[in-house]
Amino acid sequence: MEWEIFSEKIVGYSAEIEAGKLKILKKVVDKAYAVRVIENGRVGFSAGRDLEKTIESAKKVAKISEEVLKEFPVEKAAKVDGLYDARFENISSDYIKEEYEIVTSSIEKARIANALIAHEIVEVELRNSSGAELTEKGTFSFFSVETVFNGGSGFAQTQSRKIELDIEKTVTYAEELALKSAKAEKIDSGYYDLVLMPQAIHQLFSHTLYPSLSAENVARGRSRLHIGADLGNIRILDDPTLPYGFASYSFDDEGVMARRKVLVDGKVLCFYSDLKNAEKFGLTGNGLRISIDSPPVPMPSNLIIEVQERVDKSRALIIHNFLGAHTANSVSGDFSVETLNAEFEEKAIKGTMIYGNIFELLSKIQGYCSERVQIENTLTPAIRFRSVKII
Amino acid sequence: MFYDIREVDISSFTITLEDGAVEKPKIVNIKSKCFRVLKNGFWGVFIGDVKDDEGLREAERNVVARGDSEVERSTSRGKYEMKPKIPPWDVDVEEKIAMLKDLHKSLKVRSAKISYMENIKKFYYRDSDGSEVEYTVPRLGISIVAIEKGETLQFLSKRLMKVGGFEKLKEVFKLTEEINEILPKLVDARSPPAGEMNVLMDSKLAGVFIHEAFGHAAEADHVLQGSSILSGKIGETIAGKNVTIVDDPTIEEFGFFPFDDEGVKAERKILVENGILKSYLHSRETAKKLKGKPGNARSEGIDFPIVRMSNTFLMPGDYRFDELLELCRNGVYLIGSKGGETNPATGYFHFSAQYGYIIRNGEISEMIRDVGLMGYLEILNNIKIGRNLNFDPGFCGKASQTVPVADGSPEILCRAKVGGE
Repeated sequence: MEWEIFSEKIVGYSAEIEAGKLKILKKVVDKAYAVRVIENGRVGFSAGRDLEKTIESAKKVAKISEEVLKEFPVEKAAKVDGLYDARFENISSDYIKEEYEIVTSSIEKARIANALIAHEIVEVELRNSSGAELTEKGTFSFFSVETVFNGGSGFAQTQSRKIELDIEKTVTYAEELALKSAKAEKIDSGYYDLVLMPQAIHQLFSHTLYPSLSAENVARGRSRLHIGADLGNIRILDDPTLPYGFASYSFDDEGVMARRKVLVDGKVLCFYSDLKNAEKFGLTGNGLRISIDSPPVPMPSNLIIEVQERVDKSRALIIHNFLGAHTANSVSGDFSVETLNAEFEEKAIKGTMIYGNIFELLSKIQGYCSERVQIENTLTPAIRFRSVKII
Repeated sequence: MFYDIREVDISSFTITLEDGAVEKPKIVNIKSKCFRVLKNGFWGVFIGDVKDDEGLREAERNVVARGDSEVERSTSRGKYEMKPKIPPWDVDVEEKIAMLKDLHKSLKVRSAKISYMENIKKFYYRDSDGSEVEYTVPRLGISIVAIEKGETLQFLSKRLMKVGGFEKLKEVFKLTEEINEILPKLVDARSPPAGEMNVLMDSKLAGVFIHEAFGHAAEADHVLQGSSILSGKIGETIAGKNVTIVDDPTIEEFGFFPFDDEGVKAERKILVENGILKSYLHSRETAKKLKGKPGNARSEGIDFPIVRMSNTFLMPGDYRFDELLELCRNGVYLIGSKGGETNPATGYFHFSAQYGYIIRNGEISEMIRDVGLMGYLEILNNIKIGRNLNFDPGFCGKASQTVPVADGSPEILCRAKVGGE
């Protein structure tokens, strides 16, 4: 029998702010195991807090499995800077109170409806019967805020592998959006040039583009894409080795070394893959778990979006956030989504939808119009697209 | 000082059939504890698998400030165990796999993922006021995602999810019948029209409409945060006289619970009666602050409970389907839901149908795909409501906490903005 034991220990602090007041301070200490076994070539999976019971459950479930895997890999961990900040070990309630003070002092006219500050240390261990013994300690900070003002609202978020969070800038951004949104007006339907700000890019691409670059989806005929498919003026890298990247790691959740790869350079060059699909798609180091209780599947790491030409934002509809991006069609790439914070020629816009298809949208890229920032696992500048249907 | 301790033990078994083969079957057993201490108006919380005295000490250590939180103090005691007719764990795994394989065989599509899930949630609650509550509730379900290619590559997903036992899955083959009928047409369906128009929704989509358009704005935490357009509107007319909306966790649909995650006995609540806003949904804290009734606090696992919906539904009206179709005259008939999202602060919401049809001169015409809709609360002022109430199961992901819910509604006719070409 081949086996793999993956464990995850989390120590985290989070603070919740409601109606501008610090309301909850929470500490989480958790450790759980995820076990995979290969018996007679069949893979079984189980997760739980008790290792012995979890191993037994994995063996039991392997008997009904028809998923085939020969063995678990032995690879080294990549050297990645900025995964761990030792200062998290001494985080105190005073530090979080100071962060809260920054939240409240950063806002002037609008009000904080709710906000979340979170800091987490995650310690991962992976051992398998092939001889792999890997460990990684990572740190994660996250801040999100929703602001309200006279019937308008704004949302913004930031994250970091370091203990410092850019709270002031994020609150200021959310406040600007709320103040503008309070005076929002309707605009006529028609075709407009669009500027999608980084938050909007992440929301739309996560639900329309990224699933089509999964090796599993390609293998099963659930993606429109193939090697060589033309995606226009865009370069997309998947890079888990990016220093200080929020989705960086030294090895994936199957023990495969993290690798930087160019997924798209005008045309599709490769897909992100797990171990199961590696024979066909290569070993890319993207076998990741949605949570400890899920087996690894192909998932992207840091996705770095690069667009060549610098352009301005003039006479474009600028969209900061979407409402309902998750309802877009992850298979066809079609979307019909609502703008949450949008503006046109300095005036906020409300009640607007955009309709289209992600692959057609990519062919309309005109250039980038801001510095690149990281929103969850997407690193992107604001991007300008020509002539998109607005309803 | 107030404190409470929650212990949640969830055991689950999942089988996934990928293109006919059993892949990634899994057994998961997760037991967790959450300790909350409310002192000086501030919540200190600790989540970890430790003894009660240690957990409470850790939680109290997190009381680091003064706040204005207070809770409705009430003592609940009770035990509940849902005993299904056919307990899922008594059914042989071979029988479950055979059912999934039969479902796969009955599908006529390019690719399909079929998932079976069963779990048992054991819940234990006690608090400083002497409450002691425990319950056991099983849930199970089957979801199917089918992919087909024609002019476009499309998917159609269908699911049947319930509380209770294996007997609740007897109509599961209706899911594949609908997929086989619709998906081959959907791949060649046209884009929807764009703009504000008459929209006739089937009960599944209409249920999500009620959840998004009204339900989230009625959650009292949004009211206290100043981010709900229903703030200060109790007793006011916020919808047409034909609109009555209820949230009822005691109905055995997917959002069922006997006690909420603050140990309060579940109760049916009329939120809107004949168009008048009667109540918000409340946790112990929002109930204290807004003089409401608690019982609607829920959490994912053992996270901090927040105000949530359960089984939320629009009461039936008088219209037959053919009457709604005739009244619609020209517009779209939209079916099934791909989910939605709302911004309670502005009242704007967005949701998407799985597919639909053009309605021309009161008759159902060609099929349309990828239909997104937007609207705002005022739409409820003028809707026409059908006769047949149906529930659709799903998961609501407010504040990154996913909980099972069911949305119910008859067919409804309204005006809304459709995104299309």
